[in-house]
Amino acid sequence: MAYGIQIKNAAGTITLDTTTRHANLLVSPATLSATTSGTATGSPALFEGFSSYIYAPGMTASNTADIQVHVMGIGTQGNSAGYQFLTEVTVMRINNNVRLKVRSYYQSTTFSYKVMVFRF
Amino acid sequence: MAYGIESFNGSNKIQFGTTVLEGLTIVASSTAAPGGTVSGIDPTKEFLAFNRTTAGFIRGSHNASGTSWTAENNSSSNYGSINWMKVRIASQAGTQNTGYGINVFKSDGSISFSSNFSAGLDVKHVMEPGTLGSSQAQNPSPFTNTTAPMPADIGYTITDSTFANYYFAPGLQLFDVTESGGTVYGGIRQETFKFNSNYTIGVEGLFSYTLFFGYGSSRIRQRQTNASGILVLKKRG
Repeated sequence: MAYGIQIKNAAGTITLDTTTRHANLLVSPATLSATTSGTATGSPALFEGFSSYIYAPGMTASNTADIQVHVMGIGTQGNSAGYQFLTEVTVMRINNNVRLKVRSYYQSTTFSYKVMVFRF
Repeated sequence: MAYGIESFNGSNKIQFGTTVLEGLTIVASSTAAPGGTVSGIDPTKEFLAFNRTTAGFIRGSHNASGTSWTAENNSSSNYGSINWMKVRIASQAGTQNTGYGINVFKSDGSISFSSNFSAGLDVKHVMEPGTLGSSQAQNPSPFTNTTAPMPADIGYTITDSTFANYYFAPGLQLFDVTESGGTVYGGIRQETFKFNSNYTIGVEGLFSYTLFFGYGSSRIRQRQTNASGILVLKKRG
């Protein structure tokens, strides 16, 4: 190691050195919910909904190399598996905030996802 | 940064910090044989990530509540045993205040980094939903694909020329959740991985559902893009 700091645990395993891209959570697991509208839009025509924003300081629309969004799981809607059919989820980034867009065959339906945001 | 400590790596990427960041740590790991189950998962604070050391597929299913995961019961060489690790948010991983070393705490007192973590854990990449995999053509072709080659998009390329220590976290993987009353209703999605011998990793979504109305209990798998985000993690040491 030419420079910097290296940290090992008691077993001698490196937990940090100068190459580490550590698992830093900028936003700990948060639940985002979106309710689809009653009018289908787009092609294919689907019912669309948006979640509220969560605060992710430093995020921009384009800095995906520095801040990345992980949408955990495939969402839940009550306890009905059928609602997962052809539900599209898109991550929407703006300055310091992120939200989800959901497009589904199911109108007026709330979908919930767990989201984590990482900063590097 | 108003106070505390921040550390950056050789590429000027932040490693840990006092102000807002929280770490992840590995709290358990092992290998699941085909059909084997990992139980005792608390989906509110931890998730599973998967690895295999040879070329082949990673597929499996969580239960509906996300508290257990079962590897696909296929012992052929393309499937077989799957390595897994349970990753937990550091602040939910119990005290790190024993022994010696370095702890870094956030302003709320939860831990950001500890040299007592069982191993270093790098986040190499995050794949967003709907960005990988090939959607299949319209009917009737979706009904014939269970044995078709998996085309997949290459979601990640391992530059170390080894699969060792690279884990992929797909969130929940669910197939055929049973509704109350015992009737399987609709279907559910699953992310699936293909480790190629050239160290590229293919990613694809699968949608599964059960036929009704005289088709018996046949199950259909249809290829789709990834429905959940996917974390690429590398365990250090």
